[in-house]
Amino acid sequence: MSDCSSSQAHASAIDMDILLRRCMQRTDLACRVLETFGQTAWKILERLHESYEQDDLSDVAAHAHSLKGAAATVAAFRLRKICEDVEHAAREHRRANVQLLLEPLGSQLHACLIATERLRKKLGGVPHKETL
Amino acid sequence: MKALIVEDEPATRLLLAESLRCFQYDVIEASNGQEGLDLIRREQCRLVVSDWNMPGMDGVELCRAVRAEMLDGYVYFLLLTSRSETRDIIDAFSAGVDDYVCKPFEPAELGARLRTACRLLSLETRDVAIFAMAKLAESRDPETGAHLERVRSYAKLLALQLSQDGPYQEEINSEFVRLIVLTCPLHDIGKVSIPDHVLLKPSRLDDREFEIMKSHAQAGADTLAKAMKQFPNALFLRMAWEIAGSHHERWDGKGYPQGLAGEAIPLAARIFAMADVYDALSSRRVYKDAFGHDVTRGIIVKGSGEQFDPAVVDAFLAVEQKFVDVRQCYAKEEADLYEDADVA
Repeated sequence: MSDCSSSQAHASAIDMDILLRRCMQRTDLACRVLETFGQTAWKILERLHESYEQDDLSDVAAHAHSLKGAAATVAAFRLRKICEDVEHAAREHRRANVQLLLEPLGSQLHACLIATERLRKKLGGVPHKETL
Repeated sequence: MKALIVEDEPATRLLLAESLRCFQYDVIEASNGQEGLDLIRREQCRLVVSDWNMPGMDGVELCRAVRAEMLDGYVYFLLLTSRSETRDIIDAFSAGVDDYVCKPFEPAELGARLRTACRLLSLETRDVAIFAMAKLAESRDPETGAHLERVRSYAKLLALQLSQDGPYQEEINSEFVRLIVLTCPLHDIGKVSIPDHVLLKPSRLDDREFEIMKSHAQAGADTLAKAMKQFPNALFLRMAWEIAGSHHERWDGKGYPQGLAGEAIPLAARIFAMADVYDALSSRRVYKDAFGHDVTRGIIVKGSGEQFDPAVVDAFLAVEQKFVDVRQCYAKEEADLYEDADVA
């Protein structure tokens, strides 16, 4: 992926218009929501990986559901869709499908977190050290 | 109004909390169902916005737990969910959920639904109106003091005990307890039809006067029956009608006005009858002093299977110390009442 296309992917990872509408056009609130998302999303993904390694697909589904909710809140729709696919695959015990989705899940979350930091800077927030 | 948010995902919880604060709610937060249940008990929170999927106790389980609690006021429960299957929604409503909002939520929609919740909760001012109406009826009878407050406490104690032990556990749920507390103050509303020379007579009634006095049960039931025709789905009116019309019936069929016996007497009326008699016996009247708890207890136990449903008497014996506590709680008000009467 070129720098240009990568940048576009990051930029479109979160729909800022929708996030701002959900935050009642309050940029301070949007920054805090993005910061909270940045602090927790990787931890959820780590727990999801641990559950996958332990072959606990029920827990994988629970973590995917949790990350799906967080993604929906910040209007990260691609991430939300991948989480939903992981959740369904895990609930239906399709381990191979879960494995196939883990890589795009990590990539999309990475794109979201980069977008999160850019948006927070744009909105006037301070980047969070854990997501830099 | 205080609103509880129960949501395990921090970003969503933050957005929820800020949205509700924006709508002027006093927000408290929990990150799981059990923590939410503890807060509902401790903070007497009447509005809950809860996620469905959470580790441990989920939102629907929390709602079931809330409905099973003997809380003083109604708790409005709004569920947030990404589930949209009809079966899921039916399950949620069956558990006692009042409304749901799909995730991700839009604050404007959430605010509109919460305004509906507040409108429904405000209907509980109805409870205050009912009690005021009962107090108005009681105001014609100068002897009764804190009678309404005591009997509703006794009735609640008996209903709670019967919900936990004995043959009526399946019949008595938290809604039954709430309704009996709400409606039992209307038991003597028919006394408004009794002429002053009988109701206010400062001595024992003769046989003819007693017959007139006995008519209050049917008069109260008739009044409430008319209201029931207007609002046939109002459960509180049905229970008020049962209590007003049947609280002088006896288990052995020798009561009035219908001479009903055993389980033909509505359960709420059987429970209330014992609460009412306990209060009458343990209160001072112009023609008698107040009996102490032990004497009152003896009369009630003797009446088991005759005047009273034996299961209700068993419930009374299980909680009798709490009856004594209620009596003592209102003792000063009673003393003041008779001090005023003696002075007059």
